[in-house]
Amino acid sequence: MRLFIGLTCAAFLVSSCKKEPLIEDFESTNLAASAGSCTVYDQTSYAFSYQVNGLSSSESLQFYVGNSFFNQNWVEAPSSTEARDGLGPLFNAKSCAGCHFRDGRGLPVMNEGLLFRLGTPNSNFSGSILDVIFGGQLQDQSISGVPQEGEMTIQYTEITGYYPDGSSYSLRVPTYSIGNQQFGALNSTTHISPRIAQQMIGLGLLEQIPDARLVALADPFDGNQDGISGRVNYVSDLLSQGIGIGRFGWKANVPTIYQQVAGAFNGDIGITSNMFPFENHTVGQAACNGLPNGGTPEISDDDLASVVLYSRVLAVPAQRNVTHPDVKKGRELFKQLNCTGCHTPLHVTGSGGSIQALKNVRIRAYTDLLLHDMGDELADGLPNYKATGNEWRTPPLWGIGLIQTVNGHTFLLHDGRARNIEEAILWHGGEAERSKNKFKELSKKEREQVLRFLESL
Amino acid sequence: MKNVITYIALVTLVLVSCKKKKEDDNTSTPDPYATQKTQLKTTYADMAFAVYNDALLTSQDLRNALYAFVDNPSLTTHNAAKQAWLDAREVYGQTEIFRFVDGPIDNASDGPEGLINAWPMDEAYVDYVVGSPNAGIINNVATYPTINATTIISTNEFGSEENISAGYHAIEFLLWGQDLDANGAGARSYTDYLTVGGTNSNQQRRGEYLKVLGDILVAALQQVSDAWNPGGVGNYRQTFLAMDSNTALRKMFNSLRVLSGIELAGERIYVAYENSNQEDEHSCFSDNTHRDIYLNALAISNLYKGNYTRVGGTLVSGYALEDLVAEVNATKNTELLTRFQTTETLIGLMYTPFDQAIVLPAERPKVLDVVTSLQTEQTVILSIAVEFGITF
Repeated sequence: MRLFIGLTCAAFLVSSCKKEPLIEDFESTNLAASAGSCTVYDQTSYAFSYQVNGLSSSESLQFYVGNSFFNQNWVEAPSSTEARDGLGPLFNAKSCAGCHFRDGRGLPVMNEGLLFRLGTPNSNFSGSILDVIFGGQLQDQSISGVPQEGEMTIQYTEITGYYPDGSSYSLRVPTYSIGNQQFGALNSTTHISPRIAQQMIGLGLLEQIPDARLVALADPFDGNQDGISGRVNYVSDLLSQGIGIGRFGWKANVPTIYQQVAGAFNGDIGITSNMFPFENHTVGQAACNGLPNGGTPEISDDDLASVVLYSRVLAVPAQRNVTHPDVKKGRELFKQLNCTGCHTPLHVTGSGGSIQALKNVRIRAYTDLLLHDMGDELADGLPNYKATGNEWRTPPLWGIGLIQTVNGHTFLLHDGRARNIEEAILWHGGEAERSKNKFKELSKKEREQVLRFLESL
Repeated sequence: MKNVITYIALVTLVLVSCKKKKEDDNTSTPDPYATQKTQLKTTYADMAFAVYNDALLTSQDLRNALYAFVDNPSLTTHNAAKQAWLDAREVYGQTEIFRFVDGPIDNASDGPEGLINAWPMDEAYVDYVVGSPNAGIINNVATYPTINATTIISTNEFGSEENISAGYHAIEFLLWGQDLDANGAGARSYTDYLTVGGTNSNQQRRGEYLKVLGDILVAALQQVSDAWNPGGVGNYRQTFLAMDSNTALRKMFNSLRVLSGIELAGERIYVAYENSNQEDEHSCFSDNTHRDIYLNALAISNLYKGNYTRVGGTLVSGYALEDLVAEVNATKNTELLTRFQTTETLIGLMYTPFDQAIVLPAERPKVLDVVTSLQTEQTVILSIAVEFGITF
C-alpha cells in the first residue's frame, strides 16, 4: 500500500513542478531558513529526521539513543531484550515510528497513525470524564491472549461545494464509530475525537516560545474585533505538578514535550514510566490484570529522557522555492487573507532550557499555539481542559509541503479528512470563516499561488 | 500590526540574502571545476553499478546455497549457506555509501532497502524464540497458511519501520538463530530444517521461508543493480549523469556525512554501546557486526578515493573527490585521508565479537574511540563540503 501511495506522490510531484522534481535540485532551488541554525536543508524523504545543528557532543549522541527507542518496536514482556519489553497489554502501535513514520505524519487509517480519544463532556478541570470501559482512548491492538478494545470504523460522505467563480470542489465528511467491542459497549454519551500523529520537527523550538508571548498573542474576547479570539489552554503540568500553558496535541492539551512523550508511551504503546506508572487499561478490563510487565517502570528515566531529547531537537526543513513569483505572491495573499491572524509567522525562542542550540532562534512556524473555534463542521464535541468541543490548536505549518516526500500522502487536519492543502483550507470555519471566504473569492490563479506558498513550507 | 511589519521585514531580509547568495553562485562565472565535477558523477555511477552488481551476484550465490541447504539439510550444506551469507555481507556493507540521497536503494517510492537490510530484526515475528516456541509467521499456520513472497513482503515493515521479516538479517536469523552465547554466535542446528525427525516445529515452512527470503533478496538487488547498469535505458544512472553536477556533489557529501557521523557512529555503534545490550548490534545472530562496521567505514573512504575492488579483484576507479579536494584544499584532503586510516586502525583494535566489546568494561572505551573518530571524520567531511558551498 505504501508503495502505491509513494508512486502517486511521485506522479503528483512530476506534474506540479517544472523539471525533474525527484532530484534534489539544490542549486536552482531557492531555500530559506525556517528556524535559523536549527534548519536542515535536506529535501529527501529523511527531511524530518535530522538533529539540529549545534548540539553538544553528548546531546548529539543521546539523540541516537532516543532515535533508537523512537523507532524500534517494543515487545511483549518477558523478553531477552529487557530494555525494550512491556508492550501493551493494550496499545495503538509498537513504536513511536509506527505512527510518526520517518518522524512524519500519520494516515487516517487504523494502525497507520490515527487514534480515537474518548470522553463525555463535563465541567470538571480536564473538561471530560473517561469512558467507564474504554478509558480516555481506544487502543485498537492488544498482545496475544488479551481481547481487543475495538476497531475504528470510518466512513466518508462526499459533499460538493462551489467557489464564487463557479468551479466546484468536493470534501469528504467523516463519521466515526467503534466496531468489534470485545470488552463491552462504549457509553452512549462518550464522544469520539479522532487525532492524527503529527510531524515531529521543531517541537523543542515551539516549547521554547516564551509563555508571555503566547499570552500576549491571545485575544480571548476578540478585543480587536477581527473575528479571531485565540485562547490559551491551561492544563495539568505533571512536571511542575501544577497548571501549565498547553502547547502540544491537537487541543494544546499537553504543556511539555516530556509529558507528551511519556503520555504517548503510556497511552499509545502501553509503556509505563515514572510519570505514568499505571498501564492504560481500566478496572473494567479484567483480562489485562495480572499479566507480566516489562519492569517498574517499563521505560527507565534515562531512556525516556533520550526520547524526549530526540523529540526536542529534530530540525526543521528549509522553506523551498522562496523566490518563485507564485510563492512570493502566495505569501502576500496568505497575509492579506489574514491567515496570519492565527498562523503567526515569526517567533523568537527564549533563552531558558538546557539545550543551547534551541535558544534565541528566530522560527517561522506559522502557529500561535492558541485555541480557536474552527466551526461546527470540524468540531469533535469533546472539551479538553479549557478547549471547548469546537476549539483546536493552530497547527504549525512548517514542513507541510514535505509530508508528501516523507510520508507519501497529503492528508491534513486533526483527523486527516482533508486530502490536500486546498481541502484543509476549505474545511476552516468559525474564527477562520472570514479568511476562508476571502480565499474562495480569489481567482483560480491566486488560489493556486496561496497553495504554492504553503507547499513551499 | 507590529507583527506584520516584522514579518515583512523578515521576508525582505530573506529575499535579499537569497539574491546575494545567487550572485555568489557559480552561475554568473564558469565553474572552474565543472569538468572535474562531471567526471565525479561518472566515477560515482560506475562504482555504484560495480558494487551493487557484486551484491547481486553474491546474493545469487547465497540464494543457491539456501536452496541447496533446504533441499538437503546437513551440517555441510548449513555451513556452506552461512559462508555464502558472510561472503555476501562483505560486499553489501560497501554499498551503503549510496544510501540517504533518495537514490535507487532507498528512495521513498520504490527503494527496496527495507527488503534488503532492515534492522533490527524482529525475531519473534518470524520464528520461535526462547520462551515462545510457537512464535512467528513460520509457526502461525492459521494466519499465514501459505508462505510466499507476497506473504513476507506484505508483513515486512508493516505499520512501522520495525517489523522486519525479510532481508539479510532475517536470513541470518534463520541460519544462525538467536545468539544466546556470550562467546559465540547463534547455534541453530540444521535439524530445524529436517522434515523428518527435525528439531522444533514447522521445519518445512521454515525451509520455504528461507528460500523465499533468498528470492526476495535477489529480486531487490536486481532492481538496484539494473538502475545503475550502464547498459540500461532510461534508468537512474542516466538520470544521475544528467543531473546538475553541484546537486550530485551535494548527494555525495550527504551520504559521506550521514554514513560516518549519523548512521555508523550514532545508530549502529553508539546506541549499542550505550545500551550494552547484546541484542542491539547489527549482525547479532552471526556475531559479524565487526565486519559490518569495518565495511561501512571502508565504503566511506571508497567513495572519497573513487575506487572499489570488485569481488574478482578488478579495480573500478576514476576521477575522485580526493583528486578534486586535493586541488581545492590539500590540507583538508590530507586530514581526511589520515582520519580514514585512524578510523580503520581503531576499528581493528575493537574486541570481537562486538557484543562483548560493548559489555566488557576494559573493552568499552575502544568502542567509544571508534565513535569519536567517526564523528571527527564527519566534521572534516562537513568542512570540506563548505569549500564547495554545501551546508547541511
